[in-house]
Amino acid sequence: MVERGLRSQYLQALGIDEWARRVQPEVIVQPEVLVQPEVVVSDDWASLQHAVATCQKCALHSCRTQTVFGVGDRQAEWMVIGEAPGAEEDARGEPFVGAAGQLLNAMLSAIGLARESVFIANILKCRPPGNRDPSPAEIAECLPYLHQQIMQVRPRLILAFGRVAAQSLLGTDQPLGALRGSVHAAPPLNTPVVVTYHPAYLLRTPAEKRKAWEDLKFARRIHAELR
Amino acid sequence: MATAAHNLPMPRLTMRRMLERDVGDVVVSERAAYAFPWSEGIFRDCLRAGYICRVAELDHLFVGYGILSVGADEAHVLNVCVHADFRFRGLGRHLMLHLIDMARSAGARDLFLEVRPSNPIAVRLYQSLGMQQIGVRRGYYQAEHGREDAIVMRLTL
Repeated sequence: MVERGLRSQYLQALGIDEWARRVQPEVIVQPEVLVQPEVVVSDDWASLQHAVATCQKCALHSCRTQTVFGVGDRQAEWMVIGEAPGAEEDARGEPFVGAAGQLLNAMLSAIGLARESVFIANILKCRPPGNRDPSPAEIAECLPYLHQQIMQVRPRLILAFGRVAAQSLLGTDQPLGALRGSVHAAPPLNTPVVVTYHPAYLLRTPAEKRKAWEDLKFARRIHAELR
Repeated sequence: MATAAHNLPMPRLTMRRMLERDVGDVVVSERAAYAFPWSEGIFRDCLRAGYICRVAELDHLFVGYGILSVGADEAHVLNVCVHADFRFRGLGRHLMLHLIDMARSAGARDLFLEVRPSNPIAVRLYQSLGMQQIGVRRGYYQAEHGREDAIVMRLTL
């Protein structure tokens, strides 16, 4: 029995993609009814924005400059998800600005994506003081906002940047290295997810950029197969 | 690390009868999916002809459809499609499993379909459901340049 990590490496070396089992939706077969209630889908983007801007569900609200809701195309096919705002994001109210944001833009543009053409959000909408890791409780409080965003943007593919984003989104504690190179499924719509390193990590560890490039090319290939 | 993702309800995939008012959604999906899509009129005819026309919804969002004709203990999948925004989530498999169930309960003994060889993802899905290639129809489909063959597949129900 080859150890899982080692097996992944062998498969990768052979150019074989590993596939993770998807979360299976519960399937309901409706009886033969002729008249169905109309489902009224209201545009509640604005109310979601308001709920985030005024959120006090965890202690982070007391030390934020402002919430960071997310930016980009609300009809985007790609959604980019990071960890949490840092100092600059907190000051400007926009995710992925500053050096990590510059690198993110470069990574996106390497696979033909303009920053404006994707939707960018974080797991947490408020900055944890001193850029510490978000706590499980903060993630649990904040994640429903992201799920609402996913429901409304309905991306075809999610790119999760960094361990915290990947683990929170997928509800797993597997290390990032083990999650790379496979397509996962994220609630609430079983959206396909590809994970890679956080640009802030890549700035500190430039040797890993080559792996991030592999991940981005993998994501681009999966997206192409969605057509 | 425990997160709220574990506690979220699974997405609910609902299969129901296609109604006249679904045809708009169906046609949008159809056009996005195929180079040579069926017209709106064909779908309306399918509804009128009494074919088994099913719609899949994920948490009330229209995600796909399938059309099945059944006659003389044979069922034929005429069209099965997942909206481009919802691919790669195993929904096509659920739709097919549902159509297989519908065919069975309508009394069919065999299920047939045609598929383009240029659609390997679909071919792999059908194979994984136990369907076997039983023949080829030459020049069955319209194609970018001339015609394309159809692989004919069968499942014994």
